[in-house]
Amino acid sequence: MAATTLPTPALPAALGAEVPSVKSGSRVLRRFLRHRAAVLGMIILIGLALFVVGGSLLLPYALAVDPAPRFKLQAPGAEHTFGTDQIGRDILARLVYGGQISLLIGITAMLLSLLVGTLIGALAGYYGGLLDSILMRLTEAVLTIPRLFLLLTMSKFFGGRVPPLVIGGREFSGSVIVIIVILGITSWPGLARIVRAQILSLRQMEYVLAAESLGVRRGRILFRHILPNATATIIVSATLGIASAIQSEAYISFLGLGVDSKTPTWGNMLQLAPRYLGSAPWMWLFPGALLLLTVLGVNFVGDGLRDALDPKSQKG
Amino acid sequence: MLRFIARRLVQSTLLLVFVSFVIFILMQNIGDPVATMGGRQPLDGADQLRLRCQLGLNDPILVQYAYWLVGNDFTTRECDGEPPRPGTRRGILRGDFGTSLSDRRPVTQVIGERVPNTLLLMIPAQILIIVFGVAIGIFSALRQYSFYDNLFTGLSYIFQSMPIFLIALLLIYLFSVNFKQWGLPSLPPNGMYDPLGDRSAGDVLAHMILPVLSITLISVAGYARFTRASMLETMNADYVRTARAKGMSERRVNLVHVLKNACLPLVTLIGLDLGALITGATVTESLFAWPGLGSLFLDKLGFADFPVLMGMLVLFTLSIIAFQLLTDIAYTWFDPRIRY
Repeated sequence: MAATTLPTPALPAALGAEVPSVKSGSRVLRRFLRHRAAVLGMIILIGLALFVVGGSLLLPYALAVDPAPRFKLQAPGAEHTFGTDQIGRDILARLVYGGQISLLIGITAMLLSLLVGTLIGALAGYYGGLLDSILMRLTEAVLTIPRLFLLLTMSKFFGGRVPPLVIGGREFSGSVIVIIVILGITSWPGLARIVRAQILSLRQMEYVLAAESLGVRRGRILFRHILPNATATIIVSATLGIASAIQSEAYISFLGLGVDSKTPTWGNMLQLAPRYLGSAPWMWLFPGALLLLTVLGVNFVGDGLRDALDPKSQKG
Repeated sequence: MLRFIARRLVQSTLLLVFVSFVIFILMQNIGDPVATMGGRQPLDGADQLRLRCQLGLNDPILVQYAYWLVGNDFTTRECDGEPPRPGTRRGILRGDFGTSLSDRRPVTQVIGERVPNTLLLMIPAQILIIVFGVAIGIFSALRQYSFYDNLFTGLSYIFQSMPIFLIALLLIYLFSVNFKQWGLPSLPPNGMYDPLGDRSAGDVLAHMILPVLSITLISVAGYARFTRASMLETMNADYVRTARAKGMSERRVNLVHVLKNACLPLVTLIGLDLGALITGATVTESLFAWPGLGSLFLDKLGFADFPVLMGMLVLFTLSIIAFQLLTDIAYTWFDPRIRY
């Protein structure tokens, strides 16, 4: 760091010159649009969004949740485009409404983990010292426990304690909230480490020194001057975090400890797949394919964003 | 170096105690282990109370944790007017993992008999993953942006985005269900042995194919992309250009200078994965009804058999921490520039 006796550059000038990761929006957008995989990912995600929103306008919710044993296990046909499940619920309707829940879980769990991870990483990186040690040991602790086992145990721990929610005439199983919370509070360590590393290098920048010598409060420096410059990194991690949250939900639900099957999600639609593997492949092929598409789309977009925002990668 | 190892060992021990305490608290509330005891005739109230007292389930949680950690053979327990009996547990710090609540055998035995099964799946899978992952990565890097490079990149995106149960389901559907329908030789979809078979090595091998294939297909993509990126980065290094400028053959440059250095970061990846080897592939094991540690965990979670669950999580965490340390040490050996 420069000696404090040296005249420090004026704050606005330093901000304009030294910010490494935030570029003008149009340039980022241009680079993103030139990334073929990212555009493909975007198209996939828009298509999926249209599917889950548009579908719910055309198909009644009852079709997805009310059992109709007379029509059970029907193969895809004129009446039920994608067939029906073991108690006669329409697969297409379940895909639509289940997709809403899966995407909701992915996005909210990501936001929660983003909040925790950024906060912990930023505090540890900026304040250093004892706080840093404590927070990083905590991060290590969470990283060390095998994640799936931790999730299963927590799901069992909180399971059944949250009452169902009724929103807009639809009943959501309380397990949706349980899953969001446990995914959010277990998936932050990776992000916390990335943010901490970024803050460690950013706090050496001259504009931070300038702000410090102007007597700006430390909290304000962290949240107004340093953190915004780590946005690019955080956005990329957050995007990829959605994919990982959707996948994790699918894993736990597949093992029967996730969202209650009364509230469909793509994950729990696959729960009975092993039993109907050969006899009713439509029950698991469709939700499986949509899960794959979603994760693929999110990963494509995440990679595209990384390339578009990363100052080091000059290709594309 | 010794100081580094000593410091890490102290840190790891503290970490392990902290982690085990947190999990212990979580474990207390996952269900009532006594409720499922007695099989078809649930225990009556008085019996349940006596049993809970004998098992120490009524003690305060900190006391339970302390007993789990250091044992209770220095205390006596008095239940239901019976004469006080000395405690029998010796605590995990003295190597006593306790007794399973659901099948009354020592936890070490319950876990121990599953370990070889999990490793039987994971070790061949890990070998295949490393061999194919590194090979594909090198191949792609040497032919960057060629047809095969793009093909492998596309495929690795797809496999990395696929939940493992989906690939496993597809494999079972194709090789077990459809091959049978088409009259082709089909592969067994679950278990370790044919129930009517002779439990021969060939039988086990046939049952291993699909689970090992699923685990491999999922993870090989990550290794390939990692190797490719690492290779490409090394290929741009100055010393590689120097080697070329000296007139070294392309083959020698790639094998000696690029590959050797590009493999360094792989050491970390492999080291950390080896630590996770024993945690196995829970979903795969459960899907293929493979009697390994993953299915044991799911099984015992249903019984709230926390001594077994705790034992497993401690074992897993220990393995991960141990391999992290080994990886760090190995790294100094592979890359003498690194000093701790």
